[in-house]
This record gives sequence, structure tokens and C-alpha cells, in this order.
Amino acid sequence: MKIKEVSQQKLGSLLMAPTFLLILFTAVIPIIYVLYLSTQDIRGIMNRGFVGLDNYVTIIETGRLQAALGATLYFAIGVIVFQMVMGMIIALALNVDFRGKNMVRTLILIPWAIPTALVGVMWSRFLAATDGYFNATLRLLGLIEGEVNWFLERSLAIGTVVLVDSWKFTPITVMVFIAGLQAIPRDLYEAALVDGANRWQQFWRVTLPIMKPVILVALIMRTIFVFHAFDLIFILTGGGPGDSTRVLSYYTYQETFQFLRHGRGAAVAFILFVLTAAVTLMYVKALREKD
Amino acid sequence: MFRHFLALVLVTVMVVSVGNFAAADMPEKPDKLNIIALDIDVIQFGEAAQEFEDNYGIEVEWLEYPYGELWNQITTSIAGGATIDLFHMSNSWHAELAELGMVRPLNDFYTDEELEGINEMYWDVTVEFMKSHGGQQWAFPGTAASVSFFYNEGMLEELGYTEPPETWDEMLQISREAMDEGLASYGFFPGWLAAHEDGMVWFDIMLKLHGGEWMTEDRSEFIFNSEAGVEAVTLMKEILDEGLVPRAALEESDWANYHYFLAGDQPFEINWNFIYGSALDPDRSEIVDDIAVALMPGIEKDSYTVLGGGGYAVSPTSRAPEWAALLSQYMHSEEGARGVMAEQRGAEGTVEKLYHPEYDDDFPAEEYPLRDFFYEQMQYAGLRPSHFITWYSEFRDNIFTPAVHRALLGQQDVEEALNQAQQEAQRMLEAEGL
Repeated sequence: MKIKEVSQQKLGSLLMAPTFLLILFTAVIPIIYVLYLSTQDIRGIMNRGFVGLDNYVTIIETGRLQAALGATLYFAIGVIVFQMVMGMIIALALNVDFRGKNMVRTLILIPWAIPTALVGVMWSRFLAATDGYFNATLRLLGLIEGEVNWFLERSLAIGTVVLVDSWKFTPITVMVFIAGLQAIPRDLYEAALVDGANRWQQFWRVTLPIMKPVILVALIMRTIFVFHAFDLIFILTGGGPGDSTRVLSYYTYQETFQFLRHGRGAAVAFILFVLTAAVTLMYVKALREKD
Repeated sequence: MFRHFLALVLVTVMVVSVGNFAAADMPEKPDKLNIIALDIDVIQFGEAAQEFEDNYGIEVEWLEYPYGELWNQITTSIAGGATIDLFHMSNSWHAELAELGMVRPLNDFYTDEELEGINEMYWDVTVEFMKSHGGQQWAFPGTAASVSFFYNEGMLEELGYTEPPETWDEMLQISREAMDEGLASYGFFPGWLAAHEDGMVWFDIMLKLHGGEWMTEDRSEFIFNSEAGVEAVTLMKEILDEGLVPRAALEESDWANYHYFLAGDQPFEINWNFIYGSALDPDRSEIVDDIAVALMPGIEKDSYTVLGGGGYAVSPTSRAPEWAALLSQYMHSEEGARGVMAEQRGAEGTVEKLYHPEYDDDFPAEEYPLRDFFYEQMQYAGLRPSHFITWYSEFRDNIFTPAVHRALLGQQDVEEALNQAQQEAQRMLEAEGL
């Protein structure tokens, strides 16, 4: 009996080993290496040696880390709130029976299926100040005169990026929510109806509580992706105007590949990792408490 | 054995026969040399590189990229240890790349006397751009790209002007008239981008036209916030606020903003010479018969142009650096300069003598309409501080252009923005040196 238990343990370890090794080599070791790099003064291909926390001190002293953190949070909150709310509204609308429902559900996925780089190029042309279709349409409708520079003013630029990101990624939130909504038993609504609950009360008392785990999963997915958002910002604003859309991932790129300060880039990347990990752990904890 | 000996003799004879080209004691020949190249350079330097291939039997492989992708391609390739032999080094990068060990100096392959002998054929200013860091030379100059002043001759005639403006005041007045008459949407469309080289190019032009400089002569202090600098940005802000240039100037690069001029909707365009070719293309341009070029109008200075371009540098990851240096010498020979002039309609060649009268027959005016103009313009050519600041990217993206943007958008007073940038740059200078 004892021998069998031990061998089961060994078997368990053996079966877990590939996953463990995969995580070790693709996640743990790279993270430790990034931490190591962040303590080095590396420019280009020259490593001038160990500098302790100097890279962290520099990015804080210049105020660039705080600015990037601010831009990241502004962008993340905008994207997550917009996509969660819009995602739920659209999912609820698509969860009722109507003719062509399946076609609409398929069509709504199109923005998500388009490569992000292409979305960026498409929207940058669409929103171009002088010859963009959007301004031209607004001019035709008599809503504006001249041009609106969608990426020139700070708040407008970040708002525009949030909208473009939402155009691209809300469909995936919708699909996750629809899957959750379809799993809610009909009889719960019927019971609520018998108890005299109106549509709004049904949503608050039945739909939302049951959907909480699904919403949390969508929230985790989007939060991680939003903290790592790079391609749309790279194409649409290049981090500008000023540093208003220079989120942490873009700042990492800039320090590493434009200024060739790999040590500082690693420091920003490590902070981004800590931030993402903290938010994810928070969500996971919330999920477990719910369970 | 005999065949090897014969081949060696032949190579030696060829090397000697091309004068300055390479010493005879070259290491073993590689089969191939890889070049990270600016796309248009494959045409511009193609013949010169072909001559190298024919003479030495070494294949030249071009890895072509548009300008906007070059920096990342070069730096990631070298940092990743890829076998790159030569790469296009914009002359705004050499100090930074050299400081980071990402380019090998030509002094590793040539004696000072040899370099001096070769350099004699180039414009002095183009050589200065390639050897102003660390007292070494980092590449031979291959192209002398420059910003030129283009105008719509037909539109000016319609407004009653038979000559292009010689001063900015005249140019701005004509712009107002063209807009008032409904002939144009804007006077011109510059690329005043932040965190982008265009922002530096434009401020350099405005600063120098106002008689200013980036730094003191001994390069110990930044002085771009001088009276000339403040006047430069103030003028930029005034014409932006007046609508003589569109606000989109703050978000579109010089590579993407010349469509209004090509559409015949703008009297002037200040841009790199490459737009001249586009303006002559009837599929892309409405001003094929109206495009003309003149010296940049003056402000305090009579005229000025800022130089761009660059040369091909030897990568530290090259396994045959001596041969790579030799190939670069071929590419930046008289043959190479002719290739550049053929593509740029007479402009941007780095070999000065090709602009002298004795070469007039080689370059007929119909095929090389920019040649005479370019020669005149080169007398006013100057440089950005990129050729000596080793942290230039940070200076540009983090310190300088954001400050100018804040001033142009009215978020900060012009003088205050420039002073703030100056203090930050000075702190960086004290911490990092040049």
C-alpha cells in the first residue's frame, strides 16, 4: 500500500515535470534574468557592470516612470470600464432571440479577427486630421469646420486610443459574456418573474450575481492584455503627444530599443511585471473568495 | 596551388589598379557580405557594389528597409550578434552608435593618411558629419540629403510673382495672399513632430536661420534657449496660430505631409529632395509643370539647409570587416556618387568635383535639374547636434521636442519651455558628458 502511494506521488511529479520545466524556462528564468538586467548599466552592446538600484532611481527621479504609470492606469481604467460595460450591453442584446442572431454574432467578431497592426494603420488613416475620412464625414454633415486633431491634445489622444482599442477588443468580451449568459438557467428568470421582478431587477438580482465569475475572468484577461498594450499605441500615437500615451510597455520599448539603455528598459519591464502580477493575484483572490 | 597564386596576383593587381582601394594584405575572402540597406540605396549604390562583386567575386546581399525601420533593424541585429557586414548609418546616428560600440571605426582599416586621401574628394561638411565623435571616422559619406525650398511656380505667377521669395517675411506674405485668394489651404506643411527626427530638423533650420546655435563653440553648454531659439519657436507658434501651417504639422512627418503641395493646394514646401521626384510623377502630382526649387528664404541668415543622408558603416559583428570596409569604399566612390545623383536628379552627391563645370557634359540639365541648385545650396549646409551627442535619441525624444511641442500647443510659454529643456539637457550633459 505504502509502495503504491509513493509511486503515485512519483508518477504525479513525473507528469507535472514537463509543465514545471516549461514554466521554469519560459517564465521564471526570464523574469529572474530581467531582474538581473535591471541591475546592470547596459547601453547598446556594452555592459558597464552592476549598478544596484540606480536604474530604478533614475527612472523615478526623472519622473518618467510616474508619467508612464499614470498613462497606463488612465488607459487601463478607460479600456476596462468601457469594454466591460459595452461588452455586457451588447451581450445582453445578443442573448435574446431574433432573426439573424447568429449572423450578427459572427459579424461582431470581425474587428477582433483583424490583426492589431492593421487596425492601427486603418484607424490612423481614418482619423487623420487633414485628409481622414472621419473628419471629412463630420465636415460633410456640417458638424465641424476645418480639422479635429484626434491625437494632438492629451485627453483627446488617450480617449481616442481607448475607443480604438475597444473597437478591436470588445467583441472578445462580448463572446465571453454571451457564453456566461447562456449558462444561466431559464427557470431562475421565470421564478424572478413570478416574484414580480422587473427586467432591471432580474439583471441585478439574477444575471449579475451568477455572471460574477465570468466577469472576473474577462476582467483578468483584459487587464493583463491592457497592461501589455503596445502595438496600437505604437502605430496611433507613438506615445505622444508629449508622454500622455507613453504607457509602461511603450516606455520599456523606448528605453530598450530607441535609447538602447537595456538596463533601464529591464527595470521598467520588471515594474510592469510586478504590477500585472499584483493585479492578477488580486483578481484570483477575489475569484477564490467567491468560490 | 598555381591557380590560388594566380588568383592572388590578379586580386592584388586589381586592388593596386583602383588606386586607393584597400591594402594587398587582405584576410581570406568571404563568400558573401550582408548589408542592412536603405531601400533606395540598392538602386543608388547598386552599380558601385556590382563593380565590387565583379572585381572580387564576393556576393553582396542587400537587406532593404524603409528609413523608419532601419534603426531597430540595425540595433537589434547587432545586439543579437547577427552577421551583418555593413549597415546604413544615418549621419544623425553616428555619435550614438559609435559610443555604444555598435560600429567599427574606419581607422581600424585605414591609416590616417589613407583616410585623408580618400576624404579629399568629399564635401568637407559631409566628412565632418562622419568623424565628429571620438576623433575617429565612422563611415565614408555616401549621400548628402538636404532640405530644400520648393515652390509652385504657376501659383506664384497667378499671384503676380515672377521670382521666389528670398526672405521668410516675403514667403509668409505670399502664403497669406494665396490663402486669401482661395488658391491654397495652407502656406506650407512642415513636420513639427515631437519625439521624432523631423522636430529636430525643423528647429535646427529655424534656429540657424535666426542666427542661433545648439551649443557653445567648446560644447560645454546648451544655448538653444538663446534669443535666437526663442524667436525661432515664437515664429513657428505664430504661423501655426495664424493658420499658415496646419495644426496637423504637429502630428505628421515630412515623409507623409507633402500631399497638399503635390495636389497644387499649397504655394511652398520645405522638405527633403526626394519629394522632387514625386512632384514630377504625373500619377501622384498635379504640379508636374509647376514645381520649382530655390534657396531657403532667409531670416537673420541669408539662407540655410540642414544635411541628412549618411554612409555605410562596418558592423562589429562582421566576420570580414576588412572586406566590408573595402565594399563601403567602392559604394562611396565617384561611381557611387554618380548613382546617387542619377536617382536624386543631380542632388545629394557627396563627391564635390562632380558639381564643377568640367563635369557639366556628364550631367545634362534636363536629366539633372537639381545639380546646379544643389551646389549653391551646399554653401549654406549645416548639421544637427546629432553628430556629437551620444545620448541624442533621449535628448530628442525626452527633452527637446516635447518642450517645443508644449510651447507650440500653448501649454507652456516659449521661453519657459526652452529654458526647462536647456536645464534638463545641461543636467544630462554633466552626468553623461557628450
